Amino acid sequence: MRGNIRYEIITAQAITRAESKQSGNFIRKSIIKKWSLKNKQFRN
Amino acid sequence: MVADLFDKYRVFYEQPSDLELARNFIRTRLVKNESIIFVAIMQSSENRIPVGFTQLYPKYSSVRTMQNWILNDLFVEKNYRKQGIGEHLIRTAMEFAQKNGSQFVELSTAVDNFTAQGLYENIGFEKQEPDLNFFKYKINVS
Repeated sequence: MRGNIRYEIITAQAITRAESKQSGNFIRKSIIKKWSLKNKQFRN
Repeated sequence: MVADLFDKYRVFYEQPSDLELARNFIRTRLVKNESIIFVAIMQSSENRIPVGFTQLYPKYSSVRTMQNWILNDLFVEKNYRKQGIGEHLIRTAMEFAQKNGSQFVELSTAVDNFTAQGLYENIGFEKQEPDLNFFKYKINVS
């Protein structure tokens, strides 16, 4: 499968806080950096 | 979320896999606020999974009265390498250190890890010559 892969960087501390609050929104607000690679092969 | 990657990182350095140990170690660092961990997350339409991380430990200088950082761990999942993820993680760490008033980020890597050495040197890390003014001593206390 090919398509855009998006990446983001977040701190583990923010992930932990979000998990404790069960809030995906909190994670989105804590994203430090975002980028994407076009037409990459997914390798899951 | 990071423990699985941390366990794989330790396995890369020929340690036995121990996910519980990895979980406990990471949890302790986070609870005690003893390190900063940046996590790279891959998002596709179906998935959102962690694919890499870097962990920074603080290093204090009494003479300079400042805090610098040791980039102690860097790991990217095998299937996601060669995509710039490691470089993004390192640059994020450098930006973090700069914003916090640090003077430098330092790291060590295996003498035969040429891939890592190339990455670090492309970013601008300079290999340090043995210090002429200070000897480094080490003793086992365990």
